[in-house]
Amino acid sequence: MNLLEVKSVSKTYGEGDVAVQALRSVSFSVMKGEFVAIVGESGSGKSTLLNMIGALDTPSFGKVYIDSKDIFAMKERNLTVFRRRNIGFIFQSFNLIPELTVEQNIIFPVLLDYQKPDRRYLEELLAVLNLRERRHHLPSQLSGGQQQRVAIGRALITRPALILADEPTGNLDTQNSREVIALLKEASRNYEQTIIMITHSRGIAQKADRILQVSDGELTDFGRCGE
Amino acid sequence: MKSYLSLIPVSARVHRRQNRMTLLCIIISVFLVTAIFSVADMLIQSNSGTMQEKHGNWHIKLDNIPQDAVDELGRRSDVKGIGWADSFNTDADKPYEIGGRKAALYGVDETYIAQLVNALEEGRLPQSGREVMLSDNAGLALDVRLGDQVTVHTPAGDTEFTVSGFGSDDREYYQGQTYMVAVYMTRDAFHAIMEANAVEEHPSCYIQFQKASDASDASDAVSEIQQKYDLAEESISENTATMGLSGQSRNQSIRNVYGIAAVLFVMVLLAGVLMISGSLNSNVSQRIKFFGMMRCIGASRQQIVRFVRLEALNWCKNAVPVGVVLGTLASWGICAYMHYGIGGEFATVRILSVSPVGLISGVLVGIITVLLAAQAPAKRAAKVSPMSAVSGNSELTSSKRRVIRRKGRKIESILGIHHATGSRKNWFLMTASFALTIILVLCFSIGLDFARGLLPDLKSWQPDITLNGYANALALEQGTKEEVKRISGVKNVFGTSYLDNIAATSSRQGIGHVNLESYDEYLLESAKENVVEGNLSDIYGDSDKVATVYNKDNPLKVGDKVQIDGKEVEITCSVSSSLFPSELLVICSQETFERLTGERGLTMIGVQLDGNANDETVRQISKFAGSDIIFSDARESVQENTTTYMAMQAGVYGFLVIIGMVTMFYIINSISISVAARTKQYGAMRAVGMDSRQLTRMITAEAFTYAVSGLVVGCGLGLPFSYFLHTLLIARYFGTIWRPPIVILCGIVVFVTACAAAAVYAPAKRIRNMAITDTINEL
Ligand SMILES: Nc1ncnc2c1ncn2[C@@H]1O[C@H](COP(=O)(O)OP(=O)(O)O)[C@@H](O)[C@H]1O
Ligand SMILES: [Mg+2]
Repeated sequence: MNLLEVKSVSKTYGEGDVAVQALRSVSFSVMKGEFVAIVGESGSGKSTLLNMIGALDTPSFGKVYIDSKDIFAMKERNLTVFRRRNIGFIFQSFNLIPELTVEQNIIFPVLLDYQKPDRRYLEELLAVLNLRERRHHLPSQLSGGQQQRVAIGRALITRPALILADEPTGNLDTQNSREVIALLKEASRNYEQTIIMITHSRGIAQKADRILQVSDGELTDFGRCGE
Repeated sequence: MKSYLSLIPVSARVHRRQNRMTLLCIIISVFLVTAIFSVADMLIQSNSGTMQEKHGNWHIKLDNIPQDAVDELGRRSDVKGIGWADSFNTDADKPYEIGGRKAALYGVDETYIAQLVNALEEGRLPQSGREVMLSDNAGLALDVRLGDQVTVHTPAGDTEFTVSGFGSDDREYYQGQTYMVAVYMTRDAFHAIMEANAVEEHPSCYIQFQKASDASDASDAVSEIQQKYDLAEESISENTATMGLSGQSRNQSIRNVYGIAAVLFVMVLLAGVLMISGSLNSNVSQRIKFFGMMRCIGASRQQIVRFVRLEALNWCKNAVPVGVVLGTLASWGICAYMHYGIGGEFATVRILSVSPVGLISGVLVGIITVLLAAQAPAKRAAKVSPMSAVSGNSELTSSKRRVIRRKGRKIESILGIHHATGSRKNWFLMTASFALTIILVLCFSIGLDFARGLLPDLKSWQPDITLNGYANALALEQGTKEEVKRISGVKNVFGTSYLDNIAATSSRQGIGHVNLESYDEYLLESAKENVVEGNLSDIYGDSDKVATVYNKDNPLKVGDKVQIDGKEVEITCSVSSSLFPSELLVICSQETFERLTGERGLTMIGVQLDGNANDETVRQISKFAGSDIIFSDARESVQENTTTYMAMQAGVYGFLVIIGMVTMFYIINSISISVAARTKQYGAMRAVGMDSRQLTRMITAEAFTYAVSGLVVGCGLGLPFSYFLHTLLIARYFGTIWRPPIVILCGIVVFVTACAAAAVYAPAKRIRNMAITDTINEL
């Protein structure tokens, strides 16, 4: 069953002389539970693609279906709620909220939904992400790797079906990167979550179930790696 | 790039939006100070003209001084003129009369009357012992013209004079009354009359210096003379009006005016520093990474400090001239309004003049505020560690953040409140600016009340002309009221009877007498607007209900019973003011007054004129005056007081509006900056699922946190302050009791709420309309 379907999505920034065709009719689909890596040169349109999938930005043409729902047909408010519940984001710069503690940062999306966080799941996440001793610290008191682990926790707390990560290891060293990716995989496995991750690291891409390459706005599906 | 400081204009261009705010802050401060000081300067200049007209342009007055001492003073090169004047019967208590009116006699020399007080209005000065100058009111009181013969009656005999001119050295005193007339004669003629009546003379010597500053220089010489001739301290007095305006007076009251100006300057300076430093501060916060990067690249702390300071001064380059020009234009507008709109004593204000005082203080305020305001942010910028450039989270404040405690409220509200309170300094500044406005409003409103109290003419019953029984005797008849009413040009007439010290007993302890005043129907109707407690309609007609004045000096209160001559009346209501002193005052209707006292006469008849009134109207009313009835014409002073009050009101409200606008602007600006500083964070929040309503709520929570803390602090400090000022000014002089200014407080709450709401609107919209992708992943 396809969790995500991207149908001939194009995106053009600007108009006339300064128009940039960031995506050219990109189509692909992703199955539930898949771990997809997106690779490509800088400026090729990877982030643009990911932002479309996450409904952070709207495509010039084309449609995106998540769980068979056309996300761009939704009203802005419903879309926000949908995103909150179904999509987890991890950014290159961690974008934590500086005045919230580790624990509060992680449960933030749940709080935005006016729900009670699932304490057991939170403990589980904290344990997996190895942040238990740090739960009451503020982001400014953490290392880069730890901050990114908090961001992962925040992306996972709502148990979203889809996790989108834009160069999550871009600000981390190799050792930290490897750890973070391992944790991400481990955490997502339990709930059959789908991960779409942009990365520059060949090593990380190799760990994915499938690799997509974007070059100059066009997508090539490399299929399952090693095949 | 010649030096690292060349970055300033470059980075200024990049942060244009931010800079616009800071620029506006500086412009407003400069504008305010320039405008205020220009207006004050022009007012003082024009005032010194009117003051000299009113109080003469002499500087020092010496009483009982021997001639040789004066000669000694006259030899000083800085003395411009010495005049002599003596007066007698100015209290009209002795039987000196002219044409049936009381006569105040003056013996003056020409220097005094022409040069020092410039008294002459019409005709010429008395040249010989046979000529006199009469005060202006003589035309009405005695019906005389220039060249007429008048007779001055003294106990020792009559003297004939020819009227050579009209004028007086104390215009206000004689103007509009017909009870007494001032008679100015030569010193010889005066001496002759005094000698004939065997009255001792006490001539005073008036000295005018070249400049007011010479007078204070000469004060050494004066005190020398004082010692040499053994003169008493009281025999030397300064003309505070002229000395004070040129800043030379030792007199306290005039100095206070300068004090107020200084306080105003400091206040604007404070507000300016507050605004600009707030704006600079968030500017720096937003660029923590930039400064971190500068430090990374190798800039020293000192260089960063210099950078921030120069950056701030860079703004002055444009902002100060703009502020100065706007301020001058505004001052022209205000002066034009006073000149044409208000007129009266402001008609002499010059309109299109540039005030150096205003310009200099404007420029000074611009530079001083910017330097002061840049001090703290510069230090903060210098403290930014090079690490901030590379660490993941851009820091807004120091890393010693307080951890948020969640207490069952919605997360977005908690975050909003935390954004407001997270930075103590910012919170303090915002609270302070709200509080400052509130305190100012509360204090100014007391000031206005005080002014209103000082100018009793603003009551609706304020008469233009009054006929008053001498020493408040019940000398007028009821019929006179009706007769006056029939004169054409008369709009309203009211009568009141007053008897003081009536033996009485009361249900309240310690009351042995009361003062009784009657109100006729017109007064009762007018008094309705001043009711404090109870209902005035109870006391109409012959009734056993009376009123009193609600006042600290007055022990009588609503509910008290008073027995006068065996008849009991009950006080059922109170008013805030009355015609006669409020102490132990019982106000009743004319009918009740008659029943209680058996008296039918009136103490005073007040007349309000309408548009058709002319000199003939006034003349007819003045016919009712006699030896025991004093006529006085208050039209001019009523007019003057009204214009003064209006000018003051315009000034105070203008100032309040400006302060209110500044606060509003400051708050809108600060919240906008605060939001702009968190743009990235808000983007991330939206990416992880915050919707626009929650976002707006978060910013609203922030804004209202400032508003509420501002209200609490502002009212917390402002109300005691208002109480304190009230006791100091109003309760002390007018006895009115302080009550919480509910209406003003409501206004303040509305204003503050409106400010906060306005402040939320634009930034919330800006963030909502911003693409989420714009705000994430940018360094
Ligand atoms: N907001 C924007 N406005 C204009 N052009 C943009 C915008 N965002 C991205 N682009 C352009 O689109 C192309 C793809 O960008 P992006 O998806 O960020 O590349 P990357 O693969 O490095 O993530 C780039 O050429 C970039 O310049
Ligand atoms: Mg990218």
